[in-house]
Amino acid sequence: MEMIDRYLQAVRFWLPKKQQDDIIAELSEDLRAQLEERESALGRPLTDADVEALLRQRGSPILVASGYLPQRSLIGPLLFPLYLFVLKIVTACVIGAIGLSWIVAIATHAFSSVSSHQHFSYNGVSWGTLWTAWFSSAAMVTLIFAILERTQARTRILESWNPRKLPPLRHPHLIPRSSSAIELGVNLCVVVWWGLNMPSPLTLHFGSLSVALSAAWVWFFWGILLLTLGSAGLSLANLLRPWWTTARTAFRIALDLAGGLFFCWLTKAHIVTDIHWPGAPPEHAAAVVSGVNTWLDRMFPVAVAITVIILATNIYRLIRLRRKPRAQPMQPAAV
Amino acid sequence: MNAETLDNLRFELRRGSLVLAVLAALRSEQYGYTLRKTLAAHGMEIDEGTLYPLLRRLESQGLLTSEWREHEKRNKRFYRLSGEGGRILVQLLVEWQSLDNSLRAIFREENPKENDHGND
Repeated sequence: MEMIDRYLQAVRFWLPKKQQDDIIAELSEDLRAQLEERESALGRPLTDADVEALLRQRGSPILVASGYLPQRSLIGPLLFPLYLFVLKIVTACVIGAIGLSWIVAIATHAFSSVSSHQHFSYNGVSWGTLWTAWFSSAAMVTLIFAILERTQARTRILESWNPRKLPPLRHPHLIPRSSSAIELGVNLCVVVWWGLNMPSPLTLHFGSLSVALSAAWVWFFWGILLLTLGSAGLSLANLLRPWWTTARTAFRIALDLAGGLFFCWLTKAHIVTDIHWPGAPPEHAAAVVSGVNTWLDRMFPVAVAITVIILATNIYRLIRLRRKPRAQPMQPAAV
Repeated sequence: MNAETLDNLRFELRRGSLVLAVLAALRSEQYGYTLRKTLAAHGMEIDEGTLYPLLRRLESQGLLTSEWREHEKRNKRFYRLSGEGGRILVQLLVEWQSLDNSLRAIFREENPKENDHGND
């Protein structure tokens, strides 16, 4: 019965050292008793195929041994939901940081290639960087949670809570009045500042540096002014009636779409016509004007990407609005 | 409901009862193989991979005692209920009876007609 001995040896490998002999002796006795019973039932000695079938029925050595081992997990079921939540946040942060790096890298590349024709390298923000950053962050989070699991800190974490400190009920359609008030205030400030300081024709002054913008700026000026007024109106409506409706969400989408189109157009409009600073040679100033306009031109994909992200967020909100509403919060029973 | 779900639910339902069955069966001394046969004969099939670790756990909890002894020219490990195990068994049987009564009461409330037919 070499097969039986090999099976027992394989089981022994996975068992705790102190219990190996005892467990194997008992398993061996049980197996032999079963073999004898089978032989007497069949009325003949067992073949290798019979023994193989019997061992298969018992399960793989590691499975059999696992029954004798204590329950082990890197992160237990109590901490796992918290671990998954933190991992999602870390993933979002890594993707956000890398995305921002890409935007900065694209912008830097556009500007440097205009001014000095330096070769741009994506080495710093490659997919490899994203993977390495995410992997090391996830490994760190996993390690911290594994330590918490081992040190029993989970019991303190999970027991130190207060029902009174639970977050307030969230309604997906509710707009916090505080954010509407801040948005309204900011929009009104922008309207005043924009109206007083940015009308066309426009020359911007930064100390001794002056930047003249083209006549096309007039479209941008009025467009942004109207959009900001529209946004202020929407904020006022949200402040008075603080929940998203289909009409308001659609209006928000229209505002964001128009704003995005304006900015995309601005990148292509060759908006800077002249840059002047004391003692600047005309040909040098012309080169800088060309450089700034080309840099703006190369920022077009970034402007498109940001517009798409903003629109997608608002469209998602519109889709959620059109879905069935959630169950109403529990109300106190009428007395 | 698929067969796998049903199997899992049956496994969960039987798992708690197995401890009770093992403790009750070991009021008289037995070794592992005969214990398994006894349980199977009463409709409580249990595989070796579940039974032997369970016996060890119950022994480490002080509910069983065991000793290696020669029987029919072979060494076998015999298990029996300890004094503490006997006391726990009585309490568990009371708990089991209480659960059984509760479930029966719930079934009667939920299916009074079926219950009436069943009594006819």
